[in-house]
Amino acid sequence: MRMTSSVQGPAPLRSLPTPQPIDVIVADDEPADNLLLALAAQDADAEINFTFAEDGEELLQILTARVASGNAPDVVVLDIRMPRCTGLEAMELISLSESLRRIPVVMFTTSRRSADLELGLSLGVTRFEIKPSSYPELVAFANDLVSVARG
Amino acid sequence: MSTLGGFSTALLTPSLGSLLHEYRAKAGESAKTVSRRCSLGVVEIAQVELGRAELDIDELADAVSAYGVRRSLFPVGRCRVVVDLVAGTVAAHVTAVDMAETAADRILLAYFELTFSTRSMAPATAVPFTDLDLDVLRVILASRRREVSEHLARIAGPFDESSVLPEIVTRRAARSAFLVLAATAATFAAVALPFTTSSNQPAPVQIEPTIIDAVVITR
Repeated sequence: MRMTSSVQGPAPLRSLPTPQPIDVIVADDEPADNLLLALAAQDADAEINFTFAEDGEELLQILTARVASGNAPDVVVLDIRMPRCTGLEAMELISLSESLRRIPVVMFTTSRRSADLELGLSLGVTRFEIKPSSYPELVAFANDLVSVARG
Repeated sequence: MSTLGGFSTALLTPSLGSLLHEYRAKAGESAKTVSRRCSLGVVEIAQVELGRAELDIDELADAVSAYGVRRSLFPVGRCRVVVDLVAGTVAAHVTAVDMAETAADRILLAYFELTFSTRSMAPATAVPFTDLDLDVLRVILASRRREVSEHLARIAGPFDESSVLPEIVTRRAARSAFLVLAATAATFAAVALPFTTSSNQPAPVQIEPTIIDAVVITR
């Protein structure tokens, strides 16, 4: 049975714990897109710690190092067209690793090719998003990243 | 609704594609007529108007030129495009001297002409990034890649490896893990690729571990 006391005042309100920033690694060779995503996250008030990798190769280096140190990111955002190692090549390597394939990967690309979509999904991509053409959509995408990270 | 640099929003929300479509319709021209003036086909012109074209900057500038947008507010060769990365704005200033226009500038100035003329805006108005068609903004920022990279590094601060990859051992671990991963991939490629016929299957990649170099934004 739950008892309440009429003598004591109401318990002081306890503030909800502040959500921790999510940790996102973005692999995109275009600095303009990285800057815009960072600005959109600010405008969305999305608490995101970004790490930017220039291509799939650098992403894999950072990912493996992070996982090895128990510091895996919450989400990976992956462009497709990148030099040295494309997003799909990186995704193939991620899908082969027991530890890396648990990390949600959002493909974020200008490609509308159904072949890219099908291959990405077959390799375990969590979501496939076309890069938006309006800023409000980019802000919404930044919010979506938080949702993806928090399941 | 968002603000950046103290400017109001929603000034230039129409997309470049929709503005070009309106312009062509008002001029009574068909997509075929426009396509004849550039290197693109009718389907690609339709994709430009729908904002779905996957073109490089020169191709897009070529397509925009084919619409023949008359630049009266922003005269050809007399505009200086100023991108303020700190304030997050883009402005075009009309000058008395000849100015070279890049392909990216031509795209932006045609976009500005179409939007400013219908909104009675002063040509020198600085427009926040948030109010621009993102594809146009990407083109403009991509044409200033070095400055954008430097700005991104500035707002991110120097890369602090210790905050992300504690201790030097992580670099060794990264190298080891990466090699294992690459070896696994190579094995997979050797076994699986001979049985695949799809040209979309990515080729096995040869990746050499290098020093990690990344930018971290901690807000």
